[in-house]
Amino acid sequence: MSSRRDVLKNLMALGTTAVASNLVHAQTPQPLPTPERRDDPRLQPPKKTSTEDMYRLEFADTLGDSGEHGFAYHCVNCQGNCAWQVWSKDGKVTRENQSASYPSIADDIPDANPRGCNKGVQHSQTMYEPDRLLYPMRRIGQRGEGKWKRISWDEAITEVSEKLYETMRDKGPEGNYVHIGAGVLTEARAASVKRLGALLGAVRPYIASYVGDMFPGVSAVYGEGNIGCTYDFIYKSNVAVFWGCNPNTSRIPDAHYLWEGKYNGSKIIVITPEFNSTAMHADLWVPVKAGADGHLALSICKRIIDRKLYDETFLQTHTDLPLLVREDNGHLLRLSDLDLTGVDKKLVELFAADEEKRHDVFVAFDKVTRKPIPLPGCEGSTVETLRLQDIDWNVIPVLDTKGTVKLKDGTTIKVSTVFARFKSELGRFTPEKTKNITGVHPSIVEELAVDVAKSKVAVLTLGFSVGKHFNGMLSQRAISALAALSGKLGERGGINTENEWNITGLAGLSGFDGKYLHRFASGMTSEFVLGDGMKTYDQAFNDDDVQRATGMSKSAYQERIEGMLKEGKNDEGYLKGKPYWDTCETYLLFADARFRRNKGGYKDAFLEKAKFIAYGDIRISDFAMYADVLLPCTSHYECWDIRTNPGYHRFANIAVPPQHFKPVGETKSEWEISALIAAKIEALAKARFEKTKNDADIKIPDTTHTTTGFRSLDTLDEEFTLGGTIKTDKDAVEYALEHVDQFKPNTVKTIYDRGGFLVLGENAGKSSPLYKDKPYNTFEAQQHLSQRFDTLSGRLTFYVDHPLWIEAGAAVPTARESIRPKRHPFVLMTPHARWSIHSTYKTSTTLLRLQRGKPCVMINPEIAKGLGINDGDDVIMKNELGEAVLMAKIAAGVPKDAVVMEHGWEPFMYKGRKGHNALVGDMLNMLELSDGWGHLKFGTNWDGNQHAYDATVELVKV
Amino acid sequence: MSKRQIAMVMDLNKCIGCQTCTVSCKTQWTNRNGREYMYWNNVETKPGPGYPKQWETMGGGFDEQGNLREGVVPSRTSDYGTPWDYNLEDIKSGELLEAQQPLKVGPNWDEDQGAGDFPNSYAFYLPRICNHCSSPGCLAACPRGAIFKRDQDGIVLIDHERCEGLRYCIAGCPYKKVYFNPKLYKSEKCIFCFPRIEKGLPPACAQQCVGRIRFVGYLDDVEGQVHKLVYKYKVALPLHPEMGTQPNVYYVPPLPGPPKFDANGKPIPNSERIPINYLESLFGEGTREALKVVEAEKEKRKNGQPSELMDILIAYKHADMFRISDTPQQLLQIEKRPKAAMASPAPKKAATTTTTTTTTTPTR
Repeated sequence: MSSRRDVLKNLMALGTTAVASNLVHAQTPQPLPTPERRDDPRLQPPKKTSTEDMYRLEFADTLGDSGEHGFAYHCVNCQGNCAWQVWSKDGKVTRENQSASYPSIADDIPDANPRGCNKGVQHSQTMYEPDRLLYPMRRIGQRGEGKWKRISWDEAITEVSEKLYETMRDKGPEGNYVHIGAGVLTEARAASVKRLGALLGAVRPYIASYVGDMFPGVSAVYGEGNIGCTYDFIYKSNVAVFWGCNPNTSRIPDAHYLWEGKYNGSKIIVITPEFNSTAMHADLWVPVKAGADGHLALSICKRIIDRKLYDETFLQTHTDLPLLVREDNGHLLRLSDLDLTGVDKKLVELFAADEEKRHDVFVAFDKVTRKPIPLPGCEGSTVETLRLQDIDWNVIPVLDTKGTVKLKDGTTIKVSTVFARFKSELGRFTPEKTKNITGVHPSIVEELAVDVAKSKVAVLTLGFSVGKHFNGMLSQRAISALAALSGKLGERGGINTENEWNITGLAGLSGFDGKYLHRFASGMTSEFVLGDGMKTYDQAFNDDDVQRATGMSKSAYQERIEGMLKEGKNDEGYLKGKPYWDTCETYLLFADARFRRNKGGYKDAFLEKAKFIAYGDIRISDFAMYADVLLPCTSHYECWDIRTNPGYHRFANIAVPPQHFKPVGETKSEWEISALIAAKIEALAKARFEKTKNDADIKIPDTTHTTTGFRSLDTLDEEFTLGGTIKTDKDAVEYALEHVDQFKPNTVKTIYDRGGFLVLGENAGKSSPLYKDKPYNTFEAQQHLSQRFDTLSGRLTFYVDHPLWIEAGAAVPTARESIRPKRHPFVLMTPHARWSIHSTYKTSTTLLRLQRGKPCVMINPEIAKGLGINDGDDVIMKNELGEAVLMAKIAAGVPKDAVVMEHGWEPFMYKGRKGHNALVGDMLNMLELSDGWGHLKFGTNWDGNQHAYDATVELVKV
Repeated sequence: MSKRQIAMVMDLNKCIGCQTCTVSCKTQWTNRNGREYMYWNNVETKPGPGYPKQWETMGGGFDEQGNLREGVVPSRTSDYGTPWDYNLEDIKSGELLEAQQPLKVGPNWDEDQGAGDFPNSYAFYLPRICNHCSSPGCLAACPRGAIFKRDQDGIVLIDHERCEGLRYCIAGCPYKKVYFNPKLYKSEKCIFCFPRIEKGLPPACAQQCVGRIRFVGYLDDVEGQVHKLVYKYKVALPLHPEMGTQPNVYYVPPLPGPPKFDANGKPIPNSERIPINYLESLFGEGTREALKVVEAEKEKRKNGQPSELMDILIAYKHADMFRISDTPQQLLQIEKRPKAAMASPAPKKAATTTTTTTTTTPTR
């Protein structure tokens, strides 16, 4: 940034007599000064060059020396991942300009340039703002009071290491919680803290789950949640549905593909309760009621089935719809249940040779023989393909039928296909019946059914809002079922959440080849427990609310959840519930401003449990205020890093600081900090062992999460740095370039010269090839090669016979109403923001000036009028859990039964330090908590969400 | 008259309201030296009062006889809004983060407010820079003759040696795109990033526009997109042509948006969610015809027929959107590559020197 002095200097160099003045603008209307009379100056031509030169010099000041520029992306949780050129002068970053040099993949596909957004384009401004953490600090007052003492790095590292070590000795590794949050999501940089956590055996929660950005309902159907396409694929679609999302606001770098796609003939459909920035240019906007997405999806399914808009062969081959379900107990009929005398022997030998695995071989009726047949491709099948016709076999499973089968024990039972059951369930979801819940006219349901099922290429992009309702998992599943029913895979489209590239060779960076494991916890569960979520549940919801959402009484539901929590505790209860640890007392966190996020009474509960908090970040956050030790970190332009996923595009971007960069304060990268902590713990342990000669001081017992039975503290430095090879962020980037197949062949230099990015190799595609000249979409292998899906039946899964799902009446896709209280008139909707990535950049002066300057809530004009609220007024938003004061913004696109506000505001931006999230209660969803069935086992594909849309509020003018 | 006129076309159907343009302009020019309150580039939500507030009612420009209309200088406090500062340095000490100036009006105050009764709400985004008019109101109004149009490209600049801070230019500009710099005591405005253009880089707002809505080129470049959109297809129209200044920034008006709903929630086919009369009040009489042409060409494309207009608006290659010199992409590549890159061979196709827009027509 050039200073004012620079400009004045430039002006003076040009002989201009620039005078600073205190004159401010007068009020309108303002009488203009009367110019003195003199000869008309226009008789002389203006002296143009001096003015021009002033601006030229200013430009040169911001451009700096282009040979010294850095490259970067903003490795935050927008997932955008855009290559930027970082301009600098005299070691100071002046501004950023997109690299804009991604290659075009084909002449008829718009290129990806110039990816970026309103937030990335001003990082250069925030990195020098006074809320930056510059030096290590120790708390000397009460937590949150804001009294700090500057300390040296050595003091800070020693204090943190002592606490971690002490906790390991006294409480075991499970007493530590080591985690890097959504502020740093990258391959190289974030791996540092994961590596340290794994080395120490600390607890780490699953991030996508605790931020509420998971797609468990998609996993239920597809076997994985992060699937879909690069955004240029949307350009080539005929129909593009955006369900519960607003790409113009929260997918800014990719949104151009929608509108270019529209020009190319695609029909853009937006399904959201509010009329948002994407809806305004759509071909069809569907104003669904908040949380009624599942009902709408099922009514579309109903139309598709009633009007036979589906492709029968696709459903027979790729879905579990022909599978038989037992009428007696609601479970899937398994080959192991059957009296095999009535089953084609040849097929049993072919498809289910392994007797042990016949429990996981599923059965259908053959169209020709009308007899039960085992199917290929199931988890227990000996044949992995989904092909129904091959040299050795030719089976045609019947889709819609009922019948009887003879079991091993000689009894005969009734069975029906999943399809028949689903069809019957859909009877409750006719468009005419769902209209009262969804607010969507049946003619729109009809239109959507035809658009999705009959178009050549249809993409259903599923946003995060859908999963933020208590029963959002069921809605996600219903929408996924709709996509499955439409028969769209691979080049024909289908569901699109967040494509994830297959990046191999990085495990060595964040882990230790299985020798040491971290304690991987469910995000939603551990946060719920840590924040005493049950207390908030009790305050927030009444019996009616819980009945409506779960079919159980409030207390019965609570008991069920408590029982599941008990069984799932730690990870001993694996398959019974979700793992979490309530043993943590020492917290080492990075880039996780969690108090802006957590609901209800989380903050108080957390602070009571956390005996020691060390926090690393680039700036102060509300959470940082409560830390005991603060560790200042380098920001995106000051570090080395590399980032690929998720796969909205096919490029991996690199971060390289500008040459001669002058560090900001005494910041260090997460790699350096983690390496220093590892080395310090080793030193502390060795010193202690010298004195005590007690083995337990240097070998911390850990029988469950190590292969050796203990954690050796005397080799921490060696192990953390891979024998001294990875000590810094730069080392980590070089390691990644060397080890990741999909990055090859590349070096830092080739990437730098190209413009800060590399193009992923063809092998980066998980279930489709990443063709050099075609947009990517998942599941070509399933579509064309009939490979099985990663599901229990190997098929797109409509039926889940987990006992809890059967009990809840959710064995086939269904929909439930929300748990949110009906006592208050407005649903609180807090979608992803245009002006921040969660809380990152929320405090940027540059960006706040382009908003209302403080937290604001959007209200429908008619509603505001009724409440006597004017635009710009302060309003109190309140419910049982508390209240928050916000500025009212009157907006025509807000429904009359909701209020809409950007999320991510820090509590310290609100009066009384209480943010809007304090008004949100939540409860764990029993189905999301369930575990141990087929492909629904805890991991990155199967966890649940914290639900941010469970609150209703009242509004009162201040 | 200038020898040549550079111009910009903004496609409002592609504008996503992200304000990357606004911020890129801010960091390039207006984050310092008395310009802090200025937004040489702003994006407003229409319908709405805009920035500065109610600028459309503040006069300036020319009447039908060609006489300058009276205008006013907007108030910094109540029309532009004082750029508020924050006590960022106090958060660490436990203070709440608060704006240090009253929050009453700002450059994007009306964001997403729009109009219409829910669910028949409507809104769209309108980015605005200086129009670098062929008949600038500011130039005519300046009693010191300080404002000039560059010969080579028609960019309108204010000569700071002559400018005495009298501010007639601000009153004379009907778009209120000239600002008074109280520190320099001079008027300042968007300079179309001419120093960037001279280095082969398009204006920051255009090059950095992630919605890819902005085309930059010379009006007389008959092969260029700007020329074709303005003259050949007549789908790019000036904002408020009735203000008489002959702007050189043109807009492809927004299509009417998704269907409205009747009382039962049933979509009404061909309903104008964005009222066409409103669009005409902004872009003049050519609006209806422009929208018809865009719709017709879109339909052609949908049916698999070639459409040059759709090819242009889709804009396959970002670098091709800017025709600011004979070999724009080459210059662009040279400037934005680090020096180190010069020595090694480019990994991608060499920058093309083609001067025509791609006319590839993908078949569906």
